[in-house]
Amino acid sequence: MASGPIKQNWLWRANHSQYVYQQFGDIYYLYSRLSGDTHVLNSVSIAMIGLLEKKAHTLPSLAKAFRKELEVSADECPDGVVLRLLRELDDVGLIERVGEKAVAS
Amino acid sequence: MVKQQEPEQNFVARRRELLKLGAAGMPMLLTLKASAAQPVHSAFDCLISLPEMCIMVGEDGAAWIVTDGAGRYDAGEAITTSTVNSFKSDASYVVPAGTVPDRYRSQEDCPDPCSGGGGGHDDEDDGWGDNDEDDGWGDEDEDDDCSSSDDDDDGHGNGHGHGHGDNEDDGWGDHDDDDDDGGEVDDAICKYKIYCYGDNTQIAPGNYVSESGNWNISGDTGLYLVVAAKYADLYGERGNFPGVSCLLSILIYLGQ
Repeated sequence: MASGPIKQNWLWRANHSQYVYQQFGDIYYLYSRLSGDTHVLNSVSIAMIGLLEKKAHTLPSLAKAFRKELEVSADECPDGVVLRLLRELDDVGLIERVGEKAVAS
Repeated sequence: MVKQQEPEQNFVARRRELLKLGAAGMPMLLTLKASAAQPVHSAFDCLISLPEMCIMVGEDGAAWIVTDGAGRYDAGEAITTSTVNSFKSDASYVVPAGTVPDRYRSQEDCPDPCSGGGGGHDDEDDGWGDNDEDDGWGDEDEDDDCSSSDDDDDGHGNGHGHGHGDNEDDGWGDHDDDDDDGGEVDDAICKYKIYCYGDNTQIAPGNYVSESGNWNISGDTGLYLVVAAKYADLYGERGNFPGVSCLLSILIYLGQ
């Protein structure tokens, strides 16, 4: 879990081997093998998990991919909202930081 | 083609509305703690602390669960129709027929309807007091098969004397139409059984799962697991059935 500010170049990933989930309608029950907790996710949060399962993202690249996935504009889904969702997932351990994206010097 | 796209469009629209709520600050996920006390590192380690509760099992395998006011019931009490009605009225949760295995249903023999001191109604075709025939003698309780005190097959005496003035089911002015022969025979005890759990009864569902992932249900706590599993199957997390979060975690883990 990240504490404090999240840097723009940090890479994030969701590791499917750490949880199992079951879909009931639009709701997903996701059981974390790490914490033993069950999480109830809606179609928004599961979409973010799905993106982070496919590949690691930095916050800017995630925001872009997330808006594309949800077919919404940056006005509807500003980076701050993406960041907050990312924090929600991070806080409960459903995603993890896997490094930093090298910044061109 | 349009029809095929419609559900997808609906989904996208719903998700967009959800996102608006998320942007407004609504959490997009909810965490159900396996244990309130500490994090758990195994799917099977979660522990359920039950509140005081009683489960009444019906003869058809339905179950009624009382949590509030469970102290009013006792697993050892002799169940009457009144108890059953009260329990059903107090029940916070109900699961349908067929849920509970036979072994948890009442194994009591139904009381002999003739043992309630009734008498007066033979099953013999004496043509007098019984209601098997339209003899016009007025005994109204058609369900009784009780024999009168005299077992002789004389075709007369039994029942003959009932028609007037006695206080039995002769239909002549006494008001005990619903009870059998004046002695109330309550067969609730052979149709229902009550199980109760004390406050803070702790159940580790993982202990009931074999290495192969099969459930080995036994004992009174096994009944709770059966009912909770059914509830989880029917309603998921909704309704907050005690301990269902822990159980659901295991069920999901097992893919059941």
